[in-house]
Amino acid sequence: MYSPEVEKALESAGAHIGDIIRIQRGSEVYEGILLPRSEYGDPSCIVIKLSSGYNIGVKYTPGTVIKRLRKAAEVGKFPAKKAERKPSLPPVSLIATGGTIGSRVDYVTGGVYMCVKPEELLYLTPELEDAVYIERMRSPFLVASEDLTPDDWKEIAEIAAKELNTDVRGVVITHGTDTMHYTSAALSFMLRNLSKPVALVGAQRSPDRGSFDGAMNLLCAAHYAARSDIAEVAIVMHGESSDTYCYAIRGTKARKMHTSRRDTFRPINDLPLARVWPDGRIEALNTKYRKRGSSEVYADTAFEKRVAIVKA
Amino acid sequence: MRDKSFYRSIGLKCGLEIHQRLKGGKLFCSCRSTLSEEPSLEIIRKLRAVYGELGVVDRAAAFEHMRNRKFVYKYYPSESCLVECDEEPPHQVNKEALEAAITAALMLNAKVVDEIHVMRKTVIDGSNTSGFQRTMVIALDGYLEYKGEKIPIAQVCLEEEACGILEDWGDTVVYRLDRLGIPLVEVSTGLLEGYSPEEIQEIALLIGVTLRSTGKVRRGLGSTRQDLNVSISGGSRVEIKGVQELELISKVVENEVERQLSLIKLAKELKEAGVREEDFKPPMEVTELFSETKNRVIKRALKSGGVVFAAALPGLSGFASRELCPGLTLGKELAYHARAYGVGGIIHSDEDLAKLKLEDEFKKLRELLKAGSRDLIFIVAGPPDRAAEASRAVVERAKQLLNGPPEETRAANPDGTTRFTRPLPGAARMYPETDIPPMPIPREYVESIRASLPEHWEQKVKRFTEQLGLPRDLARQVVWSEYLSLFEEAVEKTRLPPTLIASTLVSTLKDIKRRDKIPVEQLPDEKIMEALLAVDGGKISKEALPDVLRELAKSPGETVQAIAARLGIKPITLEELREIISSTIQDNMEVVLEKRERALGLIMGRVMAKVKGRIDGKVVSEEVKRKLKEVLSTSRVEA
Ligand SMILES: [Zn+2]
Repeated sequence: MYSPEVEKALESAGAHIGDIIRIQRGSEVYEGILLPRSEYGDPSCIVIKLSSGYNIGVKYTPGTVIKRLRKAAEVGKFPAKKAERKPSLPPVSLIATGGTIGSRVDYVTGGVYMCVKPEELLYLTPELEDAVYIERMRSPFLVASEDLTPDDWKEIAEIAAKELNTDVRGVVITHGTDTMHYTSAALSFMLRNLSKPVALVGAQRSPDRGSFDGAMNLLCAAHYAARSDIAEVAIVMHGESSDTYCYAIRGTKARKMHTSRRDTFRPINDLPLARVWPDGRIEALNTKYRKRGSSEVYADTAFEKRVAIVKA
Repeated sequence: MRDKSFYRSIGLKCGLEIHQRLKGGKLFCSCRSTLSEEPSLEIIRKLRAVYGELGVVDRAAAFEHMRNRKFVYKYYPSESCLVECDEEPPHQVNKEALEAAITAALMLNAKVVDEIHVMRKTVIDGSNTSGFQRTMVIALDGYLEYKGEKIPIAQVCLEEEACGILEDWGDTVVYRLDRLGIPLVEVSTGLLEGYSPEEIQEIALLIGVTLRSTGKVRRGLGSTRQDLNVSISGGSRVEIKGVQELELISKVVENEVERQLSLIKLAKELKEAGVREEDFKPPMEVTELFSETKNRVIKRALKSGGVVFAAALPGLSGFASRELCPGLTLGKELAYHARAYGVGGIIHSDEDLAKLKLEDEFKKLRELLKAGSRDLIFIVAGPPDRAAEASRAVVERAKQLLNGPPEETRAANPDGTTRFTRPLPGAARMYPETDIPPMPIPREYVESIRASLPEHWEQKVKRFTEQLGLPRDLARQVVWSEYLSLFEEAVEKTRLPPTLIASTLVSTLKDIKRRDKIPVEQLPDEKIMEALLAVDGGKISKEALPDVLRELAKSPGETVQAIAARLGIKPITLEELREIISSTIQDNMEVVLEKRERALGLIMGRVMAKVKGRIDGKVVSEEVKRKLKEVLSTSRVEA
């Protein structure tokens, strides 16, 4: 979002985002890759990436000369990874709905995008391939969780029910964390006769960082879905700040307690269902839970949207 | 001794990166940065290889991921918060640090950028909990004058300090969080060509002095750190990280030049001997062969479930003990590559195998590997996956010997040698920090800082000489020392003679370090100031200052008052002095009467022994003279 005069100057120089340009202002010369502007900062500063990799803003003033030098290298994407069939591993289905866990950073602009293909998730967590076999990947929509509506819950419930009635051991749903506990509660009520585990999982740190927490969460969620005997909808996320284990928290009892901490989800008036370790160990913490069975699941998605909360 | 023309002839090119910690709080949160507490908690994390901007894993990042290490972070309640734990986004950039960085940039004649963008630089060795270091360009394109020439200053950055490392057990590294986030200024020179290693060191010193003259930098252990990149014609660009002492720079550069020259020579020799890349075979697992071994190290490794891998390195027999540069043999160089994978090192056939009780095994090994007499055989013992990776890394490194020095990142050892740490990181390791919006820097703000820039160091030397009456040498020493800002503060806050303050800071402290081997540089400014104020207030004499400072350095927790009391150096009054002088003369009356004026030295010595450090020596001398004269004049009458 450059100012109109900068837009005009860039246009008359024939410079497009991604081009290598030279900006000359008096005796000062700057060269770098032309980048788009975020909504913050000074719209009359031209943002370039220097050859050192650093970005800086160069103020455009009358008399500043912009020259387009050449086109820069194409910005890459994650190569989507095809899941390999490993008959020895337990099969699960994965439903991708969006959120930080499935986001991708444009390393040039810093912009965050949703992974377009769910296969890209596998690229972020290659360990998954040795833990479970992803039988199917479904992606009804990819949105940030604050944009989800009750209609979306219905759609997720219907897809999940369908998947649960196949030969998979359980279902993993990737989801943004802001409203994950709403979806987990909704699914808990909508999925009737539940006989297999359903794990909701997300991330508090984005996959561009070395400290991405989503990989361990996803791995633990897959173990919960494939290996536990708990036939309940649960949120499977970090149990503590350390990368040691996850808690599986009953879908109707979970609450997000902090905007950014890894261990944000806590059970309210309840014990976590289990502690799940990334190496596949599952330690039951709550004796009262619904056991895995063989009943057919159905989605009861009748939902009254005209509801208001009155807080006294 | 190699002279400047030698370094010119081999095409030595060197870039300097000077890192200097700034005073004040942390860069992206409001934690203290005092580094004094005990840790209260631990966090355990892992870091993952990340996918760079071109869709590929950065090669240095992938290397760290492969090592699959566990990181333990010690948490210090007042010096770390959710930001250091990577549980909360960074706060706004610390304004004080930003101003200090702009001040430094202007002192280096650099152009401050119009808008600052904070970046994330991928670092996954665990030293940053987030997996990246936050850094920003403050200014570009400056210079410093050196021997009449302009030394290019390419870039001035402001960035966050990484965690301090406490322990490294190979697969687990323990870090302290308190250091993470301390603001640092990083000054990068352009490529310096045609300079000798000594001159490169002087340039580094000059940059350090310029930064200190801002008065906004920290001093003491670890507050500065130098990275170098060194290359010669026919060699490769090698980054050397973490030279702690400026005085080591020339030695590190000399050693690196030597190392690269040796590797170039070795490549030629190996090629001439007919060694080819395809002669190198991958390592084999040979654990069986060592089941009855008498070697203690291997026995222990096998007992804890370890394995042994071995390989032959064609044509390298006899070369392992060759020195690449002083203190670094080829064998050690190869071992560093194994150690990077978390094993102890390698054992090779150039070593004293009889002493290692491995003669039999190596004889069998030579047959098993079908190795000739000109081949060097080595083994690696350790946990299965690590021993396999480590032995493969050694073979790969040996193979590279045919092509001269490879590009890589090395770390400086305290003796001026270096060790391999990892391959050189790719370019794809920097992207924007989206949690902090770009910061436009108004020109008026820059100009207001420029208008009140601190004096240039040469001006300071002139002023200290002319106005404070310091001898020129002492003035220069103070200005070039780490204690410059403490000196200026003490001159302002006390009535002590500037020469006393200066010599205390630049020579007394150094003497204490040298003579008593006490790490006096760890003594905080506030404690030194406390001692100076005590002298100023008459609580201790200036003679007692060295003793007090030495004791303070040993136990910085104590107060100056407590130390003075403990040392029994409570100052005495003039009355008390006169009494001591009278009684001393009385006790030695015979000698006094005999030697008369010549007894001055003796009396002075006896008195000083009693009052040393408790009153000004000049006063003692005057008083002894006066009293002696008085006694002699009366005794003459009596006689
Ligand atoms: Zn903090």
